[in-house]
Amino acid sequence: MVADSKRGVGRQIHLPLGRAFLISVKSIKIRFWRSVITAAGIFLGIAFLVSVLAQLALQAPPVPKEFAYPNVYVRGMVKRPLDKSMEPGITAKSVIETAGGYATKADKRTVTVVKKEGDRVILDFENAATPDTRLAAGDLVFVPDSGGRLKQLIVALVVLTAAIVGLVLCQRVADRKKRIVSTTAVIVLGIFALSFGLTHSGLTPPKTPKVTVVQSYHTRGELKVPTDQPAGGGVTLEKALATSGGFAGNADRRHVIVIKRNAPKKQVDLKTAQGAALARTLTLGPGDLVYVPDATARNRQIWLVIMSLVVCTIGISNSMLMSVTERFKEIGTMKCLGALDKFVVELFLLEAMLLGVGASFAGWVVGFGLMALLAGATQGWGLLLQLTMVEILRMLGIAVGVGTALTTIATIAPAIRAAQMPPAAALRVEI
Amino acid sequence: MTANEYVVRTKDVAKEFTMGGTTLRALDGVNLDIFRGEYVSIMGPSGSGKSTLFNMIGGLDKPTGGSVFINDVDMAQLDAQELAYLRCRTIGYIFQTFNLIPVMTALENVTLPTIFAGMPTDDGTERGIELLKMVGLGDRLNHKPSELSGGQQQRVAIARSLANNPAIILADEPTGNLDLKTGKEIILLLKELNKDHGVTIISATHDLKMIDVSDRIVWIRDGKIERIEERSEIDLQVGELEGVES
Ligand SMILES: Nc1ncnc2c1ncn2[C@@H]1O[C@H](COP(=O)(O)OP(=O)(O)OP(=O)(O)O)[C@@H](O)[C@H]1O
Ligand SMILES: [Mg+2]
Repeated sequence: MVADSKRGVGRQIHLPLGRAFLISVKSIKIRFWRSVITAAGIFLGIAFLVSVLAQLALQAPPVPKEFAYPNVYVRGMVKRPLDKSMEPGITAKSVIETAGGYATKADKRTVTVVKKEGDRVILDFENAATPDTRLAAGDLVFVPDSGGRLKQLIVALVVLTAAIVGLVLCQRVADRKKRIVSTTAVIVLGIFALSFGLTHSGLTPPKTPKVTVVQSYHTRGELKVPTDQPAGGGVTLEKALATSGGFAGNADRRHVIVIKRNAPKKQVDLKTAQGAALARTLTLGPGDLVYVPDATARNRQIWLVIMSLVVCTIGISNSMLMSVTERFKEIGTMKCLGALDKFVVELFLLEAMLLGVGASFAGWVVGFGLMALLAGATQGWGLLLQLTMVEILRMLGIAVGVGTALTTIATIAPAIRAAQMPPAAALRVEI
Repeated sequence: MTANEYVVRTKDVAKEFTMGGTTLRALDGVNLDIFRGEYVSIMGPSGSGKSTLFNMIGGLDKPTGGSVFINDVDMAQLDAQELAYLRCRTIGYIFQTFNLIPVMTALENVTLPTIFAGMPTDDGTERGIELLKMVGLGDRLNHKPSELSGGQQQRVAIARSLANNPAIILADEPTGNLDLKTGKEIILLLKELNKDHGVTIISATHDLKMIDVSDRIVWIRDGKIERIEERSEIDLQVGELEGVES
């Protein structure tokens, strides 16, 4: 008889953790969008925190690029366009001679000299009276194409005809959306082809080639005279700082950053004996950068980190409090069905941990990604090479650690409170 | 008469609610003995204490005075684990507001108590399907509560209450949110469980249709039992009431 088998009082078994884990995963899945909203609170906080940390890791400026113009250049309608190493006394005429003289279609009346600074001088060498001009390193001599105008005309005609044919064909496309898209494509292509044709018809001088040379070390930040000095002969960090006139008033001596070209980034605390000793032995090579941060900026950044932690805490506890509170009724129901308090708490903690890990990870990806994109786009992508793997992983660790810990802690209190309520009370809660 | 015959006994059960200095006596010395296999309706005006009594008998709240015995065990003596065991396997609950878990399908809702009872997943699912078929929802296994009508939701709740073969089904106004016809169907379903499976049914209700199927009716007013009637005594009245209704 059914009733008789139920006579004995038993003790409810505690379900294995694996079972609770499966239920939590399922619970997140079945209320997917709700979970996403809850996770968004965690995500935003952590993304903010990580972006502040990333900014701290990327505070040193990019290593300055050094350019040199050791040559003069000859381009355009000469027999052999060339780069000639600079010697005193080179003139426009002499360098054209060296390039094998004018080609047949050369327009001798508008020989252009592009100076290193960007100024242009146009010389009429058809006229024998025109004086020759001396060149300096980095100057470029350009001989235009005498048939350039004709070329431009042909290009313009061809492109315009093609564009008109294209546009007419586009108007025959039946679907409105496709018509707009194809028309736009034809116009864009036409403009592109036209500008390419016009600039490549031998009338405009090309860009002056630059050569990168690395020969100096650089000091930047809170120094009296930030400099770029030749790096030969094993300059020590101490010497480099002295050469830069010493620290400025706001210098943060505890966090001097040394970015070596071929080694991981170092942070030196010059207020300790150890750091001072290191400064005497650490030598700087070409392309190395010493950056002295601003102490007040650092305080601001620490303040920002604290603020972002506060934002995280508030955002996360708010999210978790909401997500537990709106499920009081569900908790009451589960207890009516035989759930132990411990199991309810376990369920919510597991769910919180899963959400915490997932959302913090996403926060790290986005916070770090955005900061890296921003820094790369504004200061050059080379800046990102300054980040070390350790720094990136440490940010990940902080993000996931802080996010998960806060989420779990914020869940414990309301979950325990809900689980300990008599089911009748939990069921009465309306939100 | 052996003690075994009583599945539920309440002894001087009292419940007071204190809110902002004023004390409200929702139950005031309720003595009620319910036989195994009985169908008992608890009737009374709104605010008379039906739901409060339901919570006391079901172990969903603690009385402030007196004791409740389930199968001769004083519920006050049970620890949290024993109480959970009781709620899981001995009592099945049905609520006016259904209290299904909104994000879960009908089948998942019905299977939930089997999970808490430690039943393997496959067995639980099998049991859930069997129960949903029994309440006529074999084709609605994967519907969410929001995709079911009120009557269908209450059927799911009934199926859920039966998941672990309880000896007692406690129902608090199971037909309160349903129309006349659906309410009648639910009542007949409960009666069937009572007759065919020997489940004791205790139902708080306003629904006079319930009188038809009850073995006894407990009338309460202001937290006290006013009178208890055997069905035989009130057959006549019901006849009158049905006449009024139709
Ligand atoms: N948690 C609570 N806190 C304070 N007062 C309560 C609480 N629960 C019930 N009461 C009070 O106890 C009394 C009995 O309430 P109960 O819900 O048991 O009535 P009921 O008979 O179920 O009424 P209804 O038919 O309207 O459901 C009411 O006066 C109610 O206000
Ligand atoms: Mg009630």
